[in-house]
Amino acid sequence: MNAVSEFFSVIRKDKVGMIGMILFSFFLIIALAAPYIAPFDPVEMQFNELGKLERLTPPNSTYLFGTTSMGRDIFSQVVMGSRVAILVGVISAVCVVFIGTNIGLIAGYYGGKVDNAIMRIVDIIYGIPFLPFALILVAVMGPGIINIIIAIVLITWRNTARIIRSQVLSIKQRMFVEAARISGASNFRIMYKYIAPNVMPLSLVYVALSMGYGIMTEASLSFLGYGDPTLPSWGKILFECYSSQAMFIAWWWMIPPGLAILLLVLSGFLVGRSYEEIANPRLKER
Amino acid sequence: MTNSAILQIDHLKMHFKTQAGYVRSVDDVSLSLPHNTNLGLVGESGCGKTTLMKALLKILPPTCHHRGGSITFDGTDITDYSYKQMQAIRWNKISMISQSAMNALDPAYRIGEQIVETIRIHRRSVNKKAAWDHAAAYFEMVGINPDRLKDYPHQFSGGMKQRAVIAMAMVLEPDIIIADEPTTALDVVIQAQILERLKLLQEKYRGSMIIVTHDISVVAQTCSLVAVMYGGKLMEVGPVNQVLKSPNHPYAMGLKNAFPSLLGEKKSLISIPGSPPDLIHPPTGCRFVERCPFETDKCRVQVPEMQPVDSSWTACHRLSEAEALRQEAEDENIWLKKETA
Amino acid sequence: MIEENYAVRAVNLEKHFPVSSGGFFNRNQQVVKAVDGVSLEISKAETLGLAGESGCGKTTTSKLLLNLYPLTGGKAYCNGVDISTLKGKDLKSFRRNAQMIFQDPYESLNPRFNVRVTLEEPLIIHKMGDEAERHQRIISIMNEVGLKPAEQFLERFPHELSGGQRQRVAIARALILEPDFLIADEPVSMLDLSIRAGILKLLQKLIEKKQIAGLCVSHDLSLLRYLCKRTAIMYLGRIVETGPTESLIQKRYHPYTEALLDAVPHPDPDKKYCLDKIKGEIPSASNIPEGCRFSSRCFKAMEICFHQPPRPVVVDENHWVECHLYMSNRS
Repeated sequence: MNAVSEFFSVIRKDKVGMIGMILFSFFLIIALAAPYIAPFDPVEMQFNELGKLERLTPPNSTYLFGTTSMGRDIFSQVVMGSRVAILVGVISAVCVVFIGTNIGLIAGYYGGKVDNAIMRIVDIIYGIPFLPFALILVAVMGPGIINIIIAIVLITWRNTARIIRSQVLSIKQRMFVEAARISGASNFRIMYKYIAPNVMPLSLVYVALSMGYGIMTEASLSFLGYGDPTLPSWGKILFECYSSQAMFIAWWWMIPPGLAILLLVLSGFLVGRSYEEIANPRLKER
Repeated sequence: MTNSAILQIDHLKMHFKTQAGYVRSVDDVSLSLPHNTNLGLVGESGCGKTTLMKALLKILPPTCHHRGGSITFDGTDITDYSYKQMQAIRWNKISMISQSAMNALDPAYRIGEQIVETIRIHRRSVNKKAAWDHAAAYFEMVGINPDRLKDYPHQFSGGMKQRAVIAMAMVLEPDIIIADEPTTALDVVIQAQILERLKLLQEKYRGSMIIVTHDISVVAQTCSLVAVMYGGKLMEVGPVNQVLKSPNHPYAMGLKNAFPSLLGEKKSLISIPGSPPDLIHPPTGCRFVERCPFETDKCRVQVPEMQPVDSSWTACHRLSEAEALRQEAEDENIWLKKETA
Repeated sequence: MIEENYAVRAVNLEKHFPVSSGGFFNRNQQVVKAVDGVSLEISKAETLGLAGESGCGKTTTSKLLLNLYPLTGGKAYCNGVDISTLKGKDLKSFRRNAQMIFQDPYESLNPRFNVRVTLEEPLIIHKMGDEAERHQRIISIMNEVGLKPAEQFLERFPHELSGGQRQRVAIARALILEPDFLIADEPVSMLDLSIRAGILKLLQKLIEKKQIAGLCVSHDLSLLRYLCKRTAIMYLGRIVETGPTESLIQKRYHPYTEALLDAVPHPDPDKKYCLDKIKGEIPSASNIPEGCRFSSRCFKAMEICFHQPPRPVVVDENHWVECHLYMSNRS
């Protein structure tokens, strides 16, 4: 698609965006190749040659990030955890932006009562505290990665919808939209063929930003013990570290997943920020 | 060109640096503006007229490089003045009414406060009361009731805002006022009202004014001198009566043809075929050569110099034949030939 | 259906916008009478000029004629059909028939569409022809509007075109559907003087050749003089004078026409404009003066003008004026 290739050509010109892109690609490669990179099964307990459990071993050449209180390899857990993070991040971001952009387009384009109704719903959603809502939803529907993604999407589309709507409001006023109406284009055609391509750049910014939010939310939920019990995620590593009360003894258990979350979230914000700055449509035309 | 000029521009070159090369927006322009004179600077969009004006005020972006020539204001060479050094001159000695002047007013402050602020920044010794009275006097001069100084910009109509901005530009009694397209966005009646004010003010205050516009009728009504600019260079400079009535440069002849007349006889309108030159790779000879119906081989290779004829200066290789060319230029077919060629 | 000699006819068009003003507790509904009883006719292959200051309602009138706003009064007919009753399929075919050219070619072209897509869009919308036929049509219209050679322009985006070329693309887009009715809203005011004449001539040629009914909206009478045989002068939502452009300019019946003509700056430095014939600025459309709406600025205003609105009076062949000056001696 046109907008996507434009997205990459813009990012390439900006150092900050490039750093974000490299960071993200780094995690993406790790996630894709995780089973080959991870030296051990992340839930397998490790024993030394004497048959003794490798409990809270500091980092060494065998266990790069050390082991947990249950004798599991932290490096393997962090590597496998990247899959969950990327999966949750990307899927939730795409859903959020898809829903948010469409709702924003409809609200902004039709205006009047439709707009009013949609925007009041957005206002109500803004009033819902994010984490408690996600906690309750996951508690009711049961823990699981799908439910976590649903919780994230249900709340975060509000930001995208609001921003896209305001952008649509201004693009709607442009003469070329009126020209399209005069040539007889239907509402659907005007919305998706004329207005949508002009808000696409902004939508892409929100893909990058929502990815960060998604990852952070998943980590928070897992840290609070509401994560998917069957999957290794960074939040869960932190949760186990905290609940084993080894937090202040085993720094190697806490820092790698924490740092991974930080860097991956940061990559999303960096890409989003730099793209927003360069691709500001006002600066591009004329 | 004598010393009596308030502003003297000599062979000025201002080029914008881009990835594709230098854009020669102002290329070897020489111009002198006498005291107490209105000069009209005419040209189409992108011909460099706004760049030239911004160069005088040093408000060009850093991508614009000074690549030769000088600007002398009131006997002082200000070519290498920095933005900071220029502060003392800007607004105080040279002020500008920009194209979007109506948006130059801050909507959050009363118009009077904004004018008083302008006065007090440059004249520290003036107290608030005196500054307010001064502002009121100028409001009266531009034809707005001084009581309206207390109003906010949104309470003014477009024409009144434009007049308020003119008052603001004049309030420090600068030596030169630059008006960039002062009436373009306005209706005929309001345009006429503004032009009237500009002329009255110029008569009262012995300052000079440069009116930058694409509309030759605005120049005809307000200026005594006119400079015609095309593709980063001046084509013809001289008294309004001479240049607009019997132009010597083919471009000026073309402009005269293209202007629709309202009251005179209805002649066929003739447009100048083609489009302005690419200023990154300009033609080697005359800038107008691609669109000129009278071009010769010499025009293609050699840049014409400014030469005096009567009271005006013209840059054209066929200046000596100007009389005959003027006759020919009235014929539409001459220009059409160029279009089909 | 009535016998119709005109391609486009408007009878007493009215557009009143309600606006609420006043404080929170003291709401009084005001009405902005943007268009207040406009009647006009345009025949085939003719261009009517519509002139007036900004805020006089000329743009609203043109949008009403295109059925972009619902009317609050009056009727507009295109080829004898009342356009306000159109729905669905009929509305779509009306859209095909009535086109518009905008003032600003920088704004009216989609920055993300190249010339080919811009021109193909209307054809796709109205399902005209297959791909090869559409291509053929695009090439031929581009040649007609002077974008030659067409192949060189097809893939260019608006920012790669000059102002004149953009306006030519806009004209091509309007004409590719072969409309019967074309509105040009200040078609050259954003363009450089040196290329205006070319665009005007092109418009004139195409309107005559394709038998289109044209309406050219502009504040510039000198421009209308070149494009339109007939011109209507509009003031505060009403047409105050309609007549052949040339006699309108020469005879200047209505004091407003006279004032407008006198205010136009002349390119000859020896001929000065004159401002004595009009006072102040145009009043707000929500507060229209009683009697004749021009009375508050008129230099010839009489007692009656402040109380009674004038009726249209025929002063010449095809020429009528709404002014009390002429009501007594001819009616």
